[in-house]
Amino acid sequence: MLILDPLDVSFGARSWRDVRSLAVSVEAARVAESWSDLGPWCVFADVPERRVRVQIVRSFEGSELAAPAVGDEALLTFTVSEGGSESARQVVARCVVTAVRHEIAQGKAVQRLDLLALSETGGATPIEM
Amino acid sequence: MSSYKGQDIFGSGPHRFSASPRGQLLISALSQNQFDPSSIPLGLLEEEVRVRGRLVGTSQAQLRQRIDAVNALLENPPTPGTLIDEHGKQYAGMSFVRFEEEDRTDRGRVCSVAYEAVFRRLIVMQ
Repeated sequence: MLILDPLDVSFGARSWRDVRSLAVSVEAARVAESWSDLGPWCVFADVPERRVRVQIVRSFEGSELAAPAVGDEALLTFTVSEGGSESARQVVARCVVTAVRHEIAQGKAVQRLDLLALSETGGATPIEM
Repeated sequence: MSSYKGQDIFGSGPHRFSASPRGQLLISALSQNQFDPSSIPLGLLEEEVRVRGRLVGTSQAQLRQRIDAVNALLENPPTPGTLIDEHGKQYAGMSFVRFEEEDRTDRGRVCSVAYEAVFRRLIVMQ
């Protein structure tokens, strides 16, 4: 899921302005692969351990002092709108901050946040996409 | 299709057969209070075949059934049977002596657990 200029982004009590993009990616943390005695090709694969990453890019004209700390856990909320406000839905996910990076790009300050979305039970997907 | 005592207990997932080392069981003469470096052969090692693979089920309950089916063949005392590999090679007189699951059950698209099953042609001492 990739959202440009998402609306109403907040992380716990922090309401984040100037969010330029929010990307949700799913990847394998561990792949189970098996081969048989019948040939050289893999015959079984599954992904029993998965990770949902959220990458947020914010840009500012001035200084930004209130950045979250690595390890902070809170509810991330944002609004997804597909083709009009009628179909807008709010997405809520419990996330942990894994990286906070700052850089200057084209005269603007850019903050890049990496978060890991967590499942409540391990069986439920962290973010419905 | 592989089987043990006519039952397809490993077929729910991929599995591979391997043979354990063969040859003489050797003990050192030193262990028998002979102060020299020689070895004493005690006879041929019991033949052992290991099956390593993955049991797979569409649900936790189905996986549990498949694990239980394997465990049900661990007898005390063990009785020998014929083990057949995926290429039809038969190992007669094999006793099922050990079944070990990996440290985790994997729950992704399906439920599965990796395992190692050990079969040995036990020598019955008279």
